[in-house]
Amino acid sequence: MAPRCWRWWPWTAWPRTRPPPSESTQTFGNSDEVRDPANAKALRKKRRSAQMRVKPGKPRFLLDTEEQTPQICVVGSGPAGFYTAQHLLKHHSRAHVDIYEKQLVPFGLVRFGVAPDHPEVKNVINTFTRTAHSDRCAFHGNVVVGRDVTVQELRDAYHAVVLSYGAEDHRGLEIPGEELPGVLSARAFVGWYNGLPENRKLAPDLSCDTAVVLGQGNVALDVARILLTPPEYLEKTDITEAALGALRQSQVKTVWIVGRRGPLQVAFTIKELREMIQLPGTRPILDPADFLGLQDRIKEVPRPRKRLTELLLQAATEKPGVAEAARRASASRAWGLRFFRSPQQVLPSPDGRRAAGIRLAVTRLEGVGEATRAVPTGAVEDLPCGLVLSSIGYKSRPIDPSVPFDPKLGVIPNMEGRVVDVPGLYCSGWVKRGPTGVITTTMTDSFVTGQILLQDLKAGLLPSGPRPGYAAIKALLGCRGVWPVSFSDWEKLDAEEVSRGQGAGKPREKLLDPQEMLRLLGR
Amino acid sequence: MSALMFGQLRAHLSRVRHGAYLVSGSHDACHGRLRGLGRRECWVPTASGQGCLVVPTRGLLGVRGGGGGGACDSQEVPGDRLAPGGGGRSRRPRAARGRGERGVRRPVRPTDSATLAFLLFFKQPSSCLLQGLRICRSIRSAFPPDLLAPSHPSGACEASLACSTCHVYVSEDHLDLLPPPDEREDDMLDMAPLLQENSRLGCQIVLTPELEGAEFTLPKITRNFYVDGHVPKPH
Repeated sequence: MAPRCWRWWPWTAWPRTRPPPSESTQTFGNSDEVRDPANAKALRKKRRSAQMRVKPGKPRFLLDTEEQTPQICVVGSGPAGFYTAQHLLKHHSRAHVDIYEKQLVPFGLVRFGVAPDHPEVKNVINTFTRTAHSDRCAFHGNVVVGRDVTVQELRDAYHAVVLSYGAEDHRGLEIPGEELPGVLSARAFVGWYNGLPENRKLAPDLSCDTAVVLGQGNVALDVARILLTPPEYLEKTDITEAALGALRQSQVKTVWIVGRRGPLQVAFTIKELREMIQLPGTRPILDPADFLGLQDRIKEVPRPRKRLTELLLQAATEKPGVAEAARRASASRAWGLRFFRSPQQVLPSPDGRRAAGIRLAVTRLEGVGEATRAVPTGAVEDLPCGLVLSSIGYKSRPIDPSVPFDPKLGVIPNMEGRVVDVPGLYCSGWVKRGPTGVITTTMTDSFVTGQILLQDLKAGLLPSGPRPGYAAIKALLGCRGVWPVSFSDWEKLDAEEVSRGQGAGKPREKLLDPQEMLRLLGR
Repeated sequence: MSALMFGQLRAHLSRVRHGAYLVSGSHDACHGRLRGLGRRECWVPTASGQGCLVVPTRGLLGVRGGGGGGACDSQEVPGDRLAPGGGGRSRRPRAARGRGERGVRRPVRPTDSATLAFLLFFKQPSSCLLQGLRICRSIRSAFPPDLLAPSHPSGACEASLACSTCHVYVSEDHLDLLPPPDEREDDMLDMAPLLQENSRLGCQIVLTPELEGAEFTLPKITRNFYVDGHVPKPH
């Protein structure tokens, strides 16, 4: 069969989640029963008849179907939303899941957050597409929950609502000078080169020679890597044409990645660090003094931290081989890690019109293990730069007044996915745990929420009786002049993006303008 | 030696007739259709036309290796046993294993374990060459997702070393037979939960005849990431 045909059969396999009938044919002592030929035949017959009695997946009594079809709504179509939907569809033979998304296109940060030079991470989109093609799943884009429809209205129309809308805000620096031109959030920068419609007009000024990235996570490394990668390496990726043009003319030669704490507290992972060290046309600048005494301290730490720190140590202290040394000597750009520096103020240029530097407070560490904190020592250091990108974390926004929200942690208060004090409301992904972790983390987390929801459904904790589901919401949206975008509409846009990219040898050329997208769909 | 193997082969084929399904077709996809409750063996064909039988077993095994005799029958595996929430430990096979120990059938107790182990049996081990057939893909295509630990859609990144969802534990005896992990594989393994000494990424394991009788166990998925350091209770 065609390699891709297993697109269909998992769905036919899904209904088989009902437990076998009580007179089940489980054989725990398998030896004797099967061996005896007479027994084997009887066993086969028993199994076949047991099979026929239970036909999972097909509604036995059509009149009851609607009653027994749980209608579930998922808000957000990123990894959290899709993995939750996938889990629900897989483990309930009749549940119907509707996924709402405020953008016109699905997939959330997989599309808008993963760097263009990491296309393999985006392979999960294939899994999500299969989920969306299920006949029990529907995608509704261009619907802003909280504005076009309230969470209460969703809760009335569905048996359960799962909030998976992620974290779209960034944590602010809260230092003077933050509003100067030249200071951007890394999130907006990533949205700019990844084609997020609200960041398409960002137009960052890349005419300075030094950029400072505040924060030492994977996003910081992504941003530094995109700034420093020779543009020809990005030509065959799905980076937007506008961003590629700006990067071709960029004058940025040095990027400092600055963190408050030390090398043992860096938040990026080893794969991204390796990429930076091997980035063509660049050389790393690491101060060996920052790494003194580290070799001994990492002996007992867990494997991931140990390997990461060993790689850092190696890059900072070991003499590179001949070929590597030659590569670094001929590099025209550089990146460096600065530790124990906390941003205090963004310094303006003489005419006060843009950022020209950043004042960093020198810190030292207090506490041990996970609780290690950076404490100012009093000393300061000024670092001249023309571009400041803050990458100190994302933050969720409250979606609706009726949904509880913890502004300090930036999450919805919940117990294992059940929103506190609101029955029938669940959450998964970053809005549940906080904005950290990779797609795999979110996947596992979404499955937990899905599991909890199905447990509640089974236990009768969710409203009983039929619910209208999308039929009711569609009517509401129609009255309000909102025209949702379906998954097949997205596929039309997808085809358009791919065909536009083909000319330039790119996997796709992302559509940036929502109006243009709606026009292409004939609205 | 070969007589023994052919005897085992005949035993195999009879079991295959009972409930497994032979599939012909492209070597990189094996479509395990469910026939009968729980019979989920699958014959994974290879380019050379030989094949290997991939058999799911419940935690306890009697015998491994060499075509393993009847003890390696797959158990009836009702769907609800695989519901997430069966958080058992991955059990090691009880008995000492010997190659060619036929007829040692051990009653396998029902467990609430959500882990599965897979055994590989080769039809003709000496001449079977699997070209690029990777364990992750063969398992994934061989078994419907609801058979695998349901929270474990292995291969989210489709074998491109960008995730750790195909994380498996390899049986100790066969761990050394695998080529050492690439740096990139180690990097991804760093992020896998419940890492053990015998952890590998399934998408990087290519099936070879030397892996006859290897056991691949899926880790229990109970990873909850709590920001505030809360220790999750196992479920």
